[in-house]
Amino acid sequence: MYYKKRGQAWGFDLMAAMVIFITGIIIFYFYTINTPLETGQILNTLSREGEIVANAILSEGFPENWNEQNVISPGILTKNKINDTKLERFNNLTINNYPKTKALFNTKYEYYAFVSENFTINNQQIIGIGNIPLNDKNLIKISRLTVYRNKPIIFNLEIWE
Amino acid sequence: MGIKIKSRQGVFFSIDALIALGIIISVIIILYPSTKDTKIESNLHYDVISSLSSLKIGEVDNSYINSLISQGYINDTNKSVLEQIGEFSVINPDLARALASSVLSELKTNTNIGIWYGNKLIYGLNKTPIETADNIETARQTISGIGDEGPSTGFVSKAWLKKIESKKTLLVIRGDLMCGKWTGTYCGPAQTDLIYNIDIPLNSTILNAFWLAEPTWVGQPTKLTINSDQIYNGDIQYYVILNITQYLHPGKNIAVLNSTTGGDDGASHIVIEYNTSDLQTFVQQDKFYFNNLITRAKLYQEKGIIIQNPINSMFVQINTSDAVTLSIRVGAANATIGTKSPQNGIVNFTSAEILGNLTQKGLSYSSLNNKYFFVVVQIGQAGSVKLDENSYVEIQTSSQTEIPFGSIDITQEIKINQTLNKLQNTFYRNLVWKFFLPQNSIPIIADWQLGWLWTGNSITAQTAKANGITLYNSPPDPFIPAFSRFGYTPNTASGVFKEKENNFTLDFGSNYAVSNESSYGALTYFIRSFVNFDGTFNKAKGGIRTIEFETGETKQFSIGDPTDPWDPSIDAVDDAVERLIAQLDADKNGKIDVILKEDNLEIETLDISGVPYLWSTEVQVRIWN
Repeated sequence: MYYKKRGQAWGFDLMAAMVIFITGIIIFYFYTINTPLETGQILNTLSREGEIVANAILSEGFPENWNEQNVISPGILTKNKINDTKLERFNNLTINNYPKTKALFNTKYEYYAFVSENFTINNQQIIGIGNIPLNDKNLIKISRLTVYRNKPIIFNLEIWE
Repeated sequence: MGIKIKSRQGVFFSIDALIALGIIISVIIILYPSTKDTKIESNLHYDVISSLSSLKIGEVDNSYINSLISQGYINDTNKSVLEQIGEFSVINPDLARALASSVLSELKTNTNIGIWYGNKLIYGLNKTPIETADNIETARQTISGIGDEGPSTGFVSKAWLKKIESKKTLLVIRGDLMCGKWTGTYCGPAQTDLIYNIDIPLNSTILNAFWLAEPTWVGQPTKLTINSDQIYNGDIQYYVILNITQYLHPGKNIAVLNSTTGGDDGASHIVIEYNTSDLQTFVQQDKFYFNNLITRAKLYQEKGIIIQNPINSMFVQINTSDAVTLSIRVGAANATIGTKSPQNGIVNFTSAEILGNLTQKGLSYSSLNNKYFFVVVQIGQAGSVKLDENSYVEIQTSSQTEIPFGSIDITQEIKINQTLNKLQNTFYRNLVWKFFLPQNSIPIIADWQLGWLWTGNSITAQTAKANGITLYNSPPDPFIPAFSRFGYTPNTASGVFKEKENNFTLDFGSNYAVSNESSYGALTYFIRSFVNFDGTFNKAKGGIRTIEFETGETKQFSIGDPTDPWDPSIDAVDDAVERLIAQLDADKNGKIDVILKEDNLEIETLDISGVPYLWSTEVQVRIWN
């Protein structure tokens, strides 16, 4: 008798422990794996997308002498320096068809590019190119170094939801 | 008791739950991802490299750079900004740091970034030190012309000969076994008039010439004349060596051997040492003329030939009024090509006839390459017989040996180094020749004409080795009665030529020997007549250098600035000239083999501050977090 009672107590306790253990595992699983870290994940995504868009803009583009009609990838550099013609074309493209540029960059996010000194296009100071972030959410800024008008400058790209 | 039991149940439950909780917490601690993403999502380091290497220092819109240019700190405005910082990093690191900071003044970033030239930090913009970084990413670029191994500016020079005053070289006229009353195995006693044509280049200066005449028979009465001047009349025991310098002149010369009892045993040779202003004198021979010979039938003459390049065809023309039997001997293997009577005083053997008969004997044209073979003519049956001039063997090869661009051909005597086991007179059974092949040279041929002596009729051992590599070994190779020629080319066997010391040995059995005095070896090779850029030096001014030539002559060369001391350890011009002299000193005896004048030397010097050269430094732009 004595031994039987002890056995019943152990079996019951074990079941209860198992339930707690499994519950803990399930909570852990949902918490660490399935529960989205929304803000961090979005920022990571924005950061990657921002690098991709910045890389595309800070390239020679494709075709190399692209224009609004034949552009596949709008890059503004020639021999690692910002080319005024390409810059103007890129500016025009964003003014005329900003959504198209997003499609060309293959991104769903908004972007805005500007440099440490203003762009000068057709003797006019341009603060930036793209969509100015007014109602931005989760904005990321990517900074790159490039050469504009024989000066190393910082090229900034802001990207947001 | 029952109370006790209940109490115990509660204890069990609590302990179990605690254990379970402990397990859960442990699992969570173990499984919860403890790593964090340390990847730096920035291309800033690549941007710095590409931007600074694309931007020329002279075109940067920067007042500080403009001031450096105006103050003369920056001399070459075509350099990239990356290169200019690199140059400053060697000569003035503080200036390099100031320049980098100025150029990158716009750079404001939260990313830690630093620029290193080699192991020298030139620019840094960081919040945390790199020593505590979790992750470092690096963009690299190598720039040339900059190095801590020496000055960032300096000079490199190369030198070459645009022409030479003269080059000492050799013309060797080799005799062949040629005589009358041929018995089938040896020459019989017969009146013989034998002509050697000696064509010396017209622009040459004859330095020295000798005739080693070794007739068919020991004690043969012989008259020797050159250009109608009799220079010897008497019995020749084994051979005579006569200085004939005074009897020769540039152009065509004729030497004649007259004898009442015999001709040439194949060891005779005439050697002319001469200077020529031609850088290149090597010509691949394709026509091999027989000597004019008047004697008694049966006339015998064998023309020794060695060809390096693959033979495509062979043609033989004999000017005579008697029937000609042609055969080809390689080693001791003999292939009879045929017997023909002359038509209009000429007998021809076509390539097809020659090759067809060679094939029947198991030989081919390729069997004749890279070793001596002998084209043998036997003419007439009785009475006086004549082999007239313009009788020759013509050989076409599938390729030609051409002198590489920027090279000089040199032919030098190969001197005997050691003799052992004298058989008679100057004839030894074991002989060693040694020669020196300069570095960067291309050997063409090593070639011996051998004064041979066979006492008795029994065959004996004959072994020839080059650098220890056996080239002929009898037995099992057949015994050669007249071992009068031996030669080899780089294609004969691998290792027969090597840089620097080389040797050639002949070893014979008990009754065969070769003379150390009447034999003659010659080496032909190409050496480069230029030296390229090499190390970098602080200056390139030149000076005065005394050069000693192989002729014994010495000359003082004033190269560049004669007031500057000759110091090849710090002067690029001096170094280039020294390297060229060393290269032209083929036998490394401190004397060069070509005679030069000052204006023969052409020297090009590069200022490596203007033309990046040789050195390189790796630029690293690192970012870290």
